[in-house]
Amino acid sequence: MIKYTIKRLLIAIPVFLGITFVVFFLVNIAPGGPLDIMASSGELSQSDLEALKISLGLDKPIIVRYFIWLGELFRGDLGTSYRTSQEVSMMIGQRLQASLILTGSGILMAIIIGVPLGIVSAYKPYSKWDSLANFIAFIGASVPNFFLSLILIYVIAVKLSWLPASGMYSTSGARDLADLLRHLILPAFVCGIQPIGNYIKQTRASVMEVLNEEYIKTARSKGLKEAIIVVRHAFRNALIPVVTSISLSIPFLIGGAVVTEQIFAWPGIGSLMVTAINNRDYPVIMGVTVLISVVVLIANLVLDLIYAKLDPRISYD
Amino acid sequence: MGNTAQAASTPNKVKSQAWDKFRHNKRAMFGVIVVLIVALAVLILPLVMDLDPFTTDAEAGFNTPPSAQHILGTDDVGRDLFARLLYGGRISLLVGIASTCVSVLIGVPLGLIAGYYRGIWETIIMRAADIFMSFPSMILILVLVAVFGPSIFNVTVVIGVLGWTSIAKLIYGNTLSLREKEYIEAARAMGMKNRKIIFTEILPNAIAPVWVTIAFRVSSGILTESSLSFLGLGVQTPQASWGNIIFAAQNLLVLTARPWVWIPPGICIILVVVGFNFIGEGVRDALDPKMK
Repeated sequence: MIKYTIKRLLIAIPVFLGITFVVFFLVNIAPGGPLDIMASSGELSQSDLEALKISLGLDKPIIVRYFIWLGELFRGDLGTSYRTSQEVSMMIGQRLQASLILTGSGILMAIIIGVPLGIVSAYKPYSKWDSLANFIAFIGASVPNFFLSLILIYVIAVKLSWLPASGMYSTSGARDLADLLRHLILPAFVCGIQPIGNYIKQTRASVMEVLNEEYIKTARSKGLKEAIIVVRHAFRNALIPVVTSISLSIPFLIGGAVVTEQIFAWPGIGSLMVTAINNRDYPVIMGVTVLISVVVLIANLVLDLIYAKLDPRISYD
Repeated sequence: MGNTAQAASTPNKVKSQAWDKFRHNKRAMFGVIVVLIVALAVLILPLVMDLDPFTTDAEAGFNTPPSAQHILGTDDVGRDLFARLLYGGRISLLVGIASTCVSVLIGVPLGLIAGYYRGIWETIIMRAADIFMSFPSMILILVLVAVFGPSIFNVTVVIGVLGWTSIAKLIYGNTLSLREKEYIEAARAMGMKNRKIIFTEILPNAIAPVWVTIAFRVSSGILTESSLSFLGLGVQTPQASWGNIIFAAQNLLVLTARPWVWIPPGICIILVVVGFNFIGEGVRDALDPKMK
């Protein structure tokens, strides 16, 4: 198992370097770099700009700058924002928690609703539960999340005033857990609804397949309760494709959260990214990219280890 | 194996069987009809109704509610919203379809090369695909659009280029098993050139799963374009797209007081996405014998 973990870690390294290099290269060849934006404000003279270029290190070739940046990264230094002169690691740190809360509860909601619904609809195909599962999967796959957000804000926050429309905490009053939860429900629902459909479909398909296996018949004929058969025998063996679909959905979930954060004014990484892109704030764009790749890689690693735990055959490969 | 041989001997029969299956699939036909209606509406209505999505109607004024003259009212600079909805539909459909073509044009050759030549090509192409797939494509799309500037052309190319991975993987998987088949070996023994083998022997037999994904890719292209435009990083005004019409609803006043601005384009997106998804499911059921 330790050997397997190390192997998976080693595979993650080139992926990390690949992604960060691609993004580093792209943001640096971009026309309208930070200097252009500062120059267009008209407050700086030509010689000021030259001095700034050298002090920001923008006069060196891209590949050199990438390795300088990488070296600083390993010392824990993500640089300072061109725009606000704050440390990037601090800007990200302030927003990381909010994003993790949002995407974490989104995925949790998707699993809690999606997996049981998938099991029930596999066990009783074409029942009411099956139609409900189909309907939820259908919404997740067909309604763009920004439109769903707007509808929810319009109906639930504005017309019915049941829940707040934006932010993470109320501007006045207690900033406690109850307040956070009230703000969290709508955006987390939007984040979770998209992967839900896949979880339902995947769980349904793999549980259905397992239910036809011989050992299920054996379990039935020895008189085990149906609930035990489904949960302990069928579901356990149907888990691997479910875990796969969860791991495949993580990048989509993070990408989708960018839009959701923007609409609900959720103070997370996604809205930081959108602002940074609009300002061509390279260090912030790079910082967020690094963070997201690390999160994706860790998530995949954890899921790989779960696989190996679920099916011991995998780690012998 | 037996299936492939049979398919090769009677391709027309298989094709007509698949078409029959597709035609009798109610959901798929519903999808076709919805997509056709929307496509015809956005193509023909602006011509017959003489609509203008770009010019301010000073008489009608700004932000007017729906009326006989302006079916969906006017926007904040007095442009007819119904006209913008139809012109926006043209752009949204165009981006969805064109970006899919780009994905296919990149993904198919790369998948063929990786699967047929293997070796270093396989490593480079398939590892690159893994890297792209493990990273949120929305984030990369945002970065790319910011780098190259938001425009219809750039948005289409960016969505298309980043969509190559799943298509390349499908083609790669099929090519990998096809290249070991006897008929390929025979073609090689007869001295057929690699390029010819790839295009005349492998491609026609490896392409089926791509047909299945095409409709799904179009709908996801439309969704991505609308999200980008909604963030203000996609199609830019004065051009209209369904996403950038909804952009106005980021303003709370528009959201709450003028639902006729943002609800119709949202419904259009859903209709078209559902339509293409149903078509995709229909094609999959018709072509994939395992789904019977």
